[in-house]
Amino acid sequence: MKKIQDFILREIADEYILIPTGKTTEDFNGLITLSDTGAFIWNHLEEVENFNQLITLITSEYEIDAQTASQDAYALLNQMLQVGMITMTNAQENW
Amino acid sequence: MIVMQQLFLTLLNDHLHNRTSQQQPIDAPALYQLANEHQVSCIIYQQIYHFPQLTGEIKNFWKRQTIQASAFQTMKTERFLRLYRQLNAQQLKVIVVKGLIVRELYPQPDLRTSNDEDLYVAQEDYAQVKALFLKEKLTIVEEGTDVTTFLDPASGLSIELHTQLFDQSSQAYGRFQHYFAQAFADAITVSVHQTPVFTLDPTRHLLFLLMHFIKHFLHGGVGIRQVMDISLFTEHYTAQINWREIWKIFQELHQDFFVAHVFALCQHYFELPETAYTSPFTPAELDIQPLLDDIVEAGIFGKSSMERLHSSTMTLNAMADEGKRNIFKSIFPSRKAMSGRYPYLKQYPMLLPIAWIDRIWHYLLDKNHGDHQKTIDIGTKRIDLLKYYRMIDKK
Repeated sequence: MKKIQDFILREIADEYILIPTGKTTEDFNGLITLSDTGAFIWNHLEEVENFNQLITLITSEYEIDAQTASQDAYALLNQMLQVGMITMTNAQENW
Repeated sequence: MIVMQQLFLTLLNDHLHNRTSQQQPIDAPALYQLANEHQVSCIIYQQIYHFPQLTGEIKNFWKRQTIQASAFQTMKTERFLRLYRQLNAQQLKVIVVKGLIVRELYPQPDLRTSNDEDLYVAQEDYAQVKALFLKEKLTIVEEGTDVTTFLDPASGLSIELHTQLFDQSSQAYGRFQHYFAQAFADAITVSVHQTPVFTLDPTRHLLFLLMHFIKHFLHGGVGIRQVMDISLFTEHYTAQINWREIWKIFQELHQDFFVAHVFALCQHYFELPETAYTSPFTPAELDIQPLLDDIVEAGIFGKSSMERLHSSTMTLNAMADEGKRNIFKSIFPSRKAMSGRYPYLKQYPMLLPIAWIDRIWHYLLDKNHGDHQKTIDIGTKRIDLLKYYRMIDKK
């Protein structure tokens, strides 16, 4: 996965907020609140090569089963793909 | 108020030292009001959001405001640095003062919000910087003799572009400007988010922060955020500051006693080590409480009330007249003092009476000017404070 928009992630008073910057402010004029896990995914999504690696990373960090982690991560990544925040770098079947 | 003042200062001190604040009883609406007046509400929320007493509507409102204000600050800083990189690309030596530089010393910089960024530019580079800003779609809000205010409508970033750091026409603090004659030659570079940024050398920057503090103290007053800025800056740069030079200059200006109190405040409330500054005064000679009371009451830049703002005419005149309490001069200021608001007086001095009438007329028409007697009372009290801190002679 690759981030294709400029966002800065900030932790403000126990909330994780994605803040659009630069040209991205022309497409997104709001703030995006992420859960703890959502922020973790955002921080690591460019490091992993496929979806399974991401789930392994999440389950090693949080006390969460693989099925729940998969459902949550899938929902978040799907939303981000739909609004054009991220794009696929590998063949889609890897994900 | 004393309990509230203590709590307020403790929370700010905890923040400066990146500590979690211990839970204690709070009067949330009153604390919010005080924090807001001093433009530190994001910092205070960060310290108290986990307190069980903070609940309901006010917590939701405060949280929303903190997230919005600090995110807005993140966006403005990012925009500012993009603009600054373009100044660098054109090899323009533009000096960043206070705002961005001190903000980066805070544990969470974006919680220390700023209304604008201040840039200091050599007169000969002004036109080129202005052209670049206009090309970048910034608009001019106000163009004055020494400072032009730009606004980036897309991000809300406001920039004050100064060709003078202090208005030389001010009889109260115009003489401060000449200490910055060598500012461009001695400027240093610091890296902010991987962007090289020119700024004043540490000695001159501290001099500026303290002089800026004095300037606002002579106007309506200063807020606690300026004390926090000075404390963090001093602690961070102390080894690079020429302390002999700092004290020599403030002795020349007869402001050394006052400045010693500002440092004592930083030491007492914000844990600035005594060794970080070398005060020529002993602790027994200093009394920080009247200064602290004035600061807490003032709000950011002394804007807590209209009466306080209007009282600045009295304190500025007292400073210019070395302590004389001259109400006549507050109503009919000199041409020099009036020329900031009425620039035509520089060319047509004979129009001074017309400017006086216009000023009085606007004051009377302004429904927000507050209570006249209260303005005089605040002004009188604050002139006594200037005398107490030996900023003006006791006459």
